[in-house]
Amino acid sequence: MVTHELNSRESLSNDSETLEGVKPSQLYEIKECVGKGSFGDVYRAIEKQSGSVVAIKIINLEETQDDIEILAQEIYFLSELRAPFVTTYYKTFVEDVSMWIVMEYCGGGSCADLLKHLPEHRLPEQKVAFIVREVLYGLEYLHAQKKIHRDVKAANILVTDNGDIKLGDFGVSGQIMATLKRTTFVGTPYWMAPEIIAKRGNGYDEKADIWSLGITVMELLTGQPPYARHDPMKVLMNIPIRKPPRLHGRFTSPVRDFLALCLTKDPDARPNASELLSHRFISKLTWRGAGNLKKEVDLVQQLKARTNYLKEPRHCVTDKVYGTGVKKYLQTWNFDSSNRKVLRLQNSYSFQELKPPKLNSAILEQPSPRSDKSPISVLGSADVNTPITNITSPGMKDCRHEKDFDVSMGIHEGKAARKNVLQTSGKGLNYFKHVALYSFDKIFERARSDDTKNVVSRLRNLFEEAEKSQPGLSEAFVEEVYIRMEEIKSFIDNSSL
Amino acid sequence: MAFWWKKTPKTPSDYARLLSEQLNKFENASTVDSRRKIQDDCSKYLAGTKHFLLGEVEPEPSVEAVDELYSAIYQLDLLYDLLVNLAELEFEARKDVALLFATCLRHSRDNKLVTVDYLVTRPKTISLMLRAPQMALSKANSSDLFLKTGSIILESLKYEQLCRLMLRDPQIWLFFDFAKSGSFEVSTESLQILTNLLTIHQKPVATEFFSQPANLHKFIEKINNVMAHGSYVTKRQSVKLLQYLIMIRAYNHLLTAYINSPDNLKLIMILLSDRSKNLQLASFNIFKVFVANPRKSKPVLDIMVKNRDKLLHYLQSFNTDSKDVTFLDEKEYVVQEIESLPRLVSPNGDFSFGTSPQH
Repeated sequence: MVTHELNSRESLSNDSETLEGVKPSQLYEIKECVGKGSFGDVYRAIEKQSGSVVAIKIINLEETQDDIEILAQEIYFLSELRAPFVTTYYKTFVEDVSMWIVMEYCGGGSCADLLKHLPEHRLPEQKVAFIVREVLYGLEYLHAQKKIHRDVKAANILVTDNGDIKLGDFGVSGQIMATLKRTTFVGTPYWMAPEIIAKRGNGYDEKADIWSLGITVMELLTGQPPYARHDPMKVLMNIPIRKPPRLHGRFTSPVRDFLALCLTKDPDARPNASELLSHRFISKLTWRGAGNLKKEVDLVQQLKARTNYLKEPRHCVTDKVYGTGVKKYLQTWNFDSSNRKVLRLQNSYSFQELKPPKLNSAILEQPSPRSDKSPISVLGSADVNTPITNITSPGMKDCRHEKDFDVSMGIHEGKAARKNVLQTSGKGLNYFKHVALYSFDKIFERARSDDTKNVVSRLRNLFEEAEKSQPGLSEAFVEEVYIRMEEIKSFIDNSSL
Repeated sequence: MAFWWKKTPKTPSDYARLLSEQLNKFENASTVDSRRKIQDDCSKYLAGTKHFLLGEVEPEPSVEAVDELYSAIYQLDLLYDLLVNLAELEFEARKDVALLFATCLRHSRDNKLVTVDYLVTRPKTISLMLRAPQMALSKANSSDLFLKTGSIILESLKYEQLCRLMLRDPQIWLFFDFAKSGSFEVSTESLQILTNLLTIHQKPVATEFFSQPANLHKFIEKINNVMAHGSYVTKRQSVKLLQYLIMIRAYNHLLTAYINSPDNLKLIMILLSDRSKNLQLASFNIFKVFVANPRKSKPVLDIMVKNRDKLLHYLQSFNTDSKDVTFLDEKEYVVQEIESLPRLVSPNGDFSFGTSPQH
């Protein structure tokens, strides 16, 4: 099925980028990081061809805890939203292992950014009314489609360079926030509707967004959500139990009333977005056109420029799993169809019946110490000048054909082999010189670095010393290796019938 | 909610009738203006139908009125017409179509899924449903249209009867191809369709789909192909799907067929050594089944023996920082099994540890 393709392993490549024709990094120029989250960082970017500015959220799919399916759902969600009150989704790419979500850019940052940078760290009622009206338009659009934002808060209300308001950051964070387990760690509990936490009945509906909007109103007016100084877990547990939070201080009655409506604990009694749009807190806006946040955005941008304010991305865009120049696979396997099949043996033992030969040497139980980083070159690799094919060791040349001993009998096979070896000796073969020394010289050739060569040569000298002091040691060593190789090979031949 | 119709629907079935009329006008609409006019009308009647079915009109419609509308939808073959003309509709109207399908499919009376029963008698509509995504790909804004048509399939797959019909349609194989080549949206949705098709209603999948050798082999061929040649995202999703499927008890056929082929093992081993950790882990979950198989086929065993040392070496540093107890147990088991294979130092180039050493 896949054989012919698998043999040329190079053809196994990540085709996504080439198939779509382009890599996002070729289409967009990534500028500074403008936001970050556990799920990924958001960058300002320039579309090279048109010069237009976009926001790109880059999510490393190797690192993220979220399933691709969930992220995909969120993309589908985003792609269904087209309205002036919500940030527009353009396109998703995948490059290397990262997802690039290209969105409309809101140069003014989020309302939370404004709160953070404005000297007074809060916004006047008029401005809040303007923001809330725009957000309500966004929610009305969303809710009409049975969609819930699930994470309404100042940080997710974005402001354009012109000071217009866009509801943003739903989808990716919105869906993630849907599961309570994850939200507890990111600090959103402060904005959560009681019915989400209480999880009664069939859960919650779009009214949950209205509660969050109410909390956001308090956040915008005072700089933080209620109970912001308390532990989020405690707050989370208290929201369903306590009375709804109220504004303290000098605020007008329209905003107090608006807030009380948003923060109605019973979601069925809580008004919907369309109803709230006709509330007097909102409809009091007689100054419409002048009501945007242009002034605040400009001020904050100046302040940021003065302090050289930059966000450090949590992830590095240039880090690549399949970078250029690295092998795509950490390990290559041996899938040659060898000539082993030709070498059929008469006796056929199935693998299940045959226990692997037990030998006294524990070394064989250990995984091979050789590693990728081995200083000894690989046989057949580019470093070896002489082409080496199947037969790698001169001493093994005839081994394949010596099948005259019975492999099935574990313990006896050694003896049989030994007999064999003994027969071939005595023909003027010097085990130390012709085998051991020869092999060491070969290994020496294969050594890549001088260090390795040193070690090999030291070992060779040690061997020589040992042979001198204990003549015949080389012979015994070579014999044992030979016998062991025989056992293994015949076992393999048997079992691969 | 208020509506300002040009032709005010008098009875509930008027919604369906007016919509059907407009949809059939697309065919002969030659000018941009006339198309726009039809689009507008369709959007309007579609929204009206939707609000009516969802009970979002004042006063709330009676059960009889709703049933009357459903009957009209069936009689006019409205679902078919909507699918045919989906590409002609506006952005918001397309969303309404998807919502309308979902609402209709859920509709039940006396414990009977009325729309599902109706669709079973309309193979033409089911067939078109499966072909709509393919048709979408040739249109402008294909991703968006593909998602809409795909979501209708996904909605239908929730119902066993419809799932069984779809399993019989050879068109489903094309979703593997879409998964391999499309945009992010197209490829993820294609795999989602395949996943839902094969995992929601396991009994018919086992007894009517995987029970046929032709399906079995074609499935393995197709999924191997996406696992080998798909994008990073497609690879991850397809390996995950396969991993999930072979663990389903009822799909024994699939498991046995899969783990007996050396080609499959080769592919899984290649994925096991991929640089992506997620791919490694997912393919490990398939690889372990090959290893645990007490009756390994000879060629499968052959590959393992030939790669014994490489595998041990590789597994030694495999996901060592994991704290997942199940994984660690399984890894230990796999290592033991592989260690018990004979160590081969044959002249077959087994010395080479693949990735060349540094420098």
